[in-house]
Amino acid sequence: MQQVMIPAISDSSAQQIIKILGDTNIFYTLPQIIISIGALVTMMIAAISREERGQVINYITSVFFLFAGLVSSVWLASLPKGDAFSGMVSSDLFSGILNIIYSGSALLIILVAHSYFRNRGRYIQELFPLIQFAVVGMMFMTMANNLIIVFLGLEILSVSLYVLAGIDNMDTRSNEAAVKYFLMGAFSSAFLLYGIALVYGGTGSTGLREIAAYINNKSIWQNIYIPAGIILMLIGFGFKVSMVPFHMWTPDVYQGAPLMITAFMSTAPKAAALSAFAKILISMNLEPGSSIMLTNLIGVLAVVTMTVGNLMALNQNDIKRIMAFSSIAHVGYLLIAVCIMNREALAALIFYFCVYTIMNIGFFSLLSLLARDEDRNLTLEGIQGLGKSRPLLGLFLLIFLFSLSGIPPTAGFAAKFFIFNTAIENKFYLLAILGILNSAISAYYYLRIILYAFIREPESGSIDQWSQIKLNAACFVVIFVTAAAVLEIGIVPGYIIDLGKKAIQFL
Amino acid sequence: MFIHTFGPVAIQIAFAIGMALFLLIFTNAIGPKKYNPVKFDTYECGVSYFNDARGMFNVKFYLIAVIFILFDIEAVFIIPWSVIFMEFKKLGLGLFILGEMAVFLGVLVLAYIYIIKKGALKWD
Repeated sequence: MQQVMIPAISDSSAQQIIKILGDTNIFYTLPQIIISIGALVTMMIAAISREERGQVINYITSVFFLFAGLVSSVWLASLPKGDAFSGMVSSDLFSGILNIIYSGSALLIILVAHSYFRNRGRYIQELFPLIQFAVVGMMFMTMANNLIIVFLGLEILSVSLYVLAGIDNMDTRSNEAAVKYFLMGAFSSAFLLYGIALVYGGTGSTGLREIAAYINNKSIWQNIYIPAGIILMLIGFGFKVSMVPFHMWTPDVYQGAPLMITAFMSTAPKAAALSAFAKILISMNLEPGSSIMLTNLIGVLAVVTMTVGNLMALNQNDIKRIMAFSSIAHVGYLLIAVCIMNREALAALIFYFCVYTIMNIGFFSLLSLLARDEDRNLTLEGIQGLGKSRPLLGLFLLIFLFSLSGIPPTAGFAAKFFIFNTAIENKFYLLAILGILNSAISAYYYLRIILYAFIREPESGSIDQWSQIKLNAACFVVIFVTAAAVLEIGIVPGYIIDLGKKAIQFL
Repeated sequence: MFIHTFGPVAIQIAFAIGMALFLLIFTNAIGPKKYNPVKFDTYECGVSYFNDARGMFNVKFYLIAVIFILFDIEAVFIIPWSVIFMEFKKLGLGLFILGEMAVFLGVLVLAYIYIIKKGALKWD
């Protein structure tokens, strides 16, 4: 009798089920699976073990799993393009390179964060699972072939970041940062979701390929919902990457969050959000003529973003705040590449992500050695005398700041050069000129940090605080490797650019 | 295009506003007005009220509520699974779909262990 109640399964739907299971290709999401398992294992360790011993076990476990995720990302990047979960997620060289950036940056951050939090006197094991969950979210965002998966990845990432911002629950500034970030982030998710809903309403699908087939190189104005949806999505992503005028949360959150969390928030998540947005725009197959309004809009936002970021950074005293405005300015440069909206620009974008992640993490790792008193000493006056007292650390500071301001022969120069060059090749002359002018402005506040570290003397009679710094092995390795990479990419940038150019052919 | 697609919605909105206005205006105009202090009391399903609604809650209520919602929503995923389970079994995929649910519930159990170990369900 019970059997009658269930509608009998038809042959075609049975075939459909078997076809869907055959299309799953779960191994294309191997990095996500490995890192998710790592996150669950470290979460269990965090639940069971206490304080310092648990932190050490968690540290080793998460380094192991993130490294395995990194290796599997490299392996996937070497495979030809493939679809998983019936085309909801696809793996290609583009997502492979970005997955390497995400897992690699998380690995570097964790290597430093362990000693940073130990110096701060806090043992917070939840740090490790949350960073790994964030990496999984970012990977899904880039690999997504469907707007719903983009949103899902963004939420996994954002929820982890909200908690990470407030992870030091003894520090009031950290708590304040978490609340501000949560409120703004939840608000922006609503924009993104509304944009997705409008695009769905306009095209009848959330799949990027179906949307591209619907638009089919015709004008986006054929249907008012499509441009409206794209602009709402731009606002949603703009909040996440702190694009002006949606940047207000950035300085407070970056200043309040613990230093290494700020380092994490300012690098990989921005790469994830921008690459997802650029991938959506490019795979939508917009006809160039009809998207002029969109190009102009993003172009104006790029100029406003970098100008506001750079000008606001000029008068700051707290180094974390300077870095917050600097990250806004860097998003401005990245938006130039998004605005050009073609495949060469995407190669420039990938290259800039690589370089920006490396130099930013290097600089923050260096700061983590100097930070004490819940990061309150990281001001311009606070780092006086560093260059004299510890010349080696001063040298690394010099390398990272030169790279951030884009002075040759560092990677920052190569990255900016590549972006402005792409802009000029595509006849975006004004954007290139304004970008170059902006990097000249940015040199002022980066070099001011160097000025304080090397030339300004601390008040006579004060004790030399820098001679007591102990160099932690893992932290020093990270600083050394990132500094070497910054110089190496700056001198021989060719192979990463080639890799980027190869990656976009498969998109 | 807008009138064509949103016309029914506009009619519904107009009807809703009209209905509300109609009820408010006509009950005020026609109905008898008799003053009674009980009428102005807070409505508590017939029980007379005993204190202000703007009291303080223990913050643990919120934690329990959030945990409850999370686990409650998971049940939404289990019900459709159980509905189509027999169909998968007919295709010879019974063990597969059972394993899928085992993975899903396994992750939930891990979260539950975490909650208990962290003492989120302890009231004191």
